[in-house]
Amino acid sequence: MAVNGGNRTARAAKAWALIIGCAGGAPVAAEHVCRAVRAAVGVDGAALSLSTGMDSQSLVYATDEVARRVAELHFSLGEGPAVEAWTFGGASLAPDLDSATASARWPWFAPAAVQAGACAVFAFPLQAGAIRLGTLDLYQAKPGPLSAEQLADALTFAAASLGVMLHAAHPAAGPPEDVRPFDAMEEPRAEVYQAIGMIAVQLGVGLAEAFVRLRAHAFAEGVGVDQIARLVVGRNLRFDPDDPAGTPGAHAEPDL
Amino acid sequence: MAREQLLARVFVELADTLVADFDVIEFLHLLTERCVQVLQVDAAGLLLTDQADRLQLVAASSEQSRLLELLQLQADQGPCLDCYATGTQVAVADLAAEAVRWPVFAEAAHERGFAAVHAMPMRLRDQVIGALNLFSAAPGGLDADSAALGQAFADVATIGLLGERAAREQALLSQQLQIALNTRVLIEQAKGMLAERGSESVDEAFTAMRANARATNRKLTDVAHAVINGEVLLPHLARTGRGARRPPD
Repeated sequence: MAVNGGNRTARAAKAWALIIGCAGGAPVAAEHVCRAVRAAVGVDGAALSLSTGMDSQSLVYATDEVARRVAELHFSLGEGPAVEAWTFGGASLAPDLDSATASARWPWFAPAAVQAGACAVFAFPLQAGAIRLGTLDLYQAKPGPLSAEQLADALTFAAASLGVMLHAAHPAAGPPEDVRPFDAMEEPRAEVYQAIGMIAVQLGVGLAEAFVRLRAHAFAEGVGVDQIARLVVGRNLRFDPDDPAGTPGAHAEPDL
Repeated sequence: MAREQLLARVFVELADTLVADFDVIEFLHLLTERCVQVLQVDAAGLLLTDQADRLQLVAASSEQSRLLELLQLQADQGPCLDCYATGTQVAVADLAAEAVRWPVFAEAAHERGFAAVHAMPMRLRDQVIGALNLFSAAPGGLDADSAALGQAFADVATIGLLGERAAREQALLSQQLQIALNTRVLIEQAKGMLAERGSESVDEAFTAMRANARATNRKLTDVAHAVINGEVLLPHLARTGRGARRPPD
């Protein structure tokens, strides 16, 4: 039983252990996250999709045929929990697609998903502020809501998915081995997000790439992202656009 | 102004914010500012659950980094976390006496000049979705009337944040909480970009965006998006706003 506010690190560490176990020594990829989340949350299937707009989506991985079909229905019909999650930036939970409420909300998607074998679909945006990459979608063959514990796990895996997909989308900004259980240590602190904004301006890149650069640098230095963020916000560290490795050009003496 | 008059004005203002083109961060920021005025405390902040075991900062009466840090600390320890965990108000009239209970928090609060703190739960039926924090420079804490009023502010924050449908439906509750917290992240990213472009410090950037939102009749979140997309905020608008930020007497 989770104690309020106390178990995040343990939960994230458990999630990453499972993901890394699924990867079996290979660099962590979408496939491993999907298989791990299915096992941890105890759902029938999971899929990761990338979105750059309403009409530009692609399936990265699905654990099974039903999960794949659910993703395709979202793309072709342009509605459903995943579309909602991506559009509004919050989890979209549909515990019973075979209900009047669901068919009023998604007249095409709801019956089609039920027919495809998914009576419950839960979609989570992969996001950090203005960065929104896609969604993590879970399904159940039978209707029923997620428990608070399942929801907490699903949200933890969505955060992990963001890390994995960020690196996949910007391979030049940080090698795939940098994808590691960072999130277990990452505090969702204001400074980290301010630093991402500052680095984006310093390098003339988007926020997503700036996030990857920040993480890659923290990894290279062997410290937490929040420590590097503090240096950036305190103007003791700048990222240099002329350095192809994306590492900061001017190292200040870390005044931690 | 008598407290009743001030209170009437504040609730009319908050209701207006809810009815008009609603911006969740603007609403919660205004609410924390008005808590400071009406309850005569020195700072206020709101933390929400991310539904994965952690409280996250969503709004504060001042965007000074020092205050934001203190609020964020309470994800790990402090009266806010205890209030969230128990669903009841936590009143600490003298933080100096609580150094054993919350060593890190008590010291950080003391460093920032706060001696007393009060935490009010944001309740929804049998759940707690976050907490409102009130800080005072002088020890002693709130009287019973102010504490009741503080709880009313916390309840208004809950209903304003969730809206009628999300307050009713569990699935939408989750969505609204995430949207609010992610909007906060978006604001921080925009603050960083604005500061780096040279026009503001990180601490000032929020004020500049808020002033610009008012001057251009846009939502705060839309201004933050515009900053992220490269818009340059006109400095004279920011200056006007900074002057106008002073709370009404």
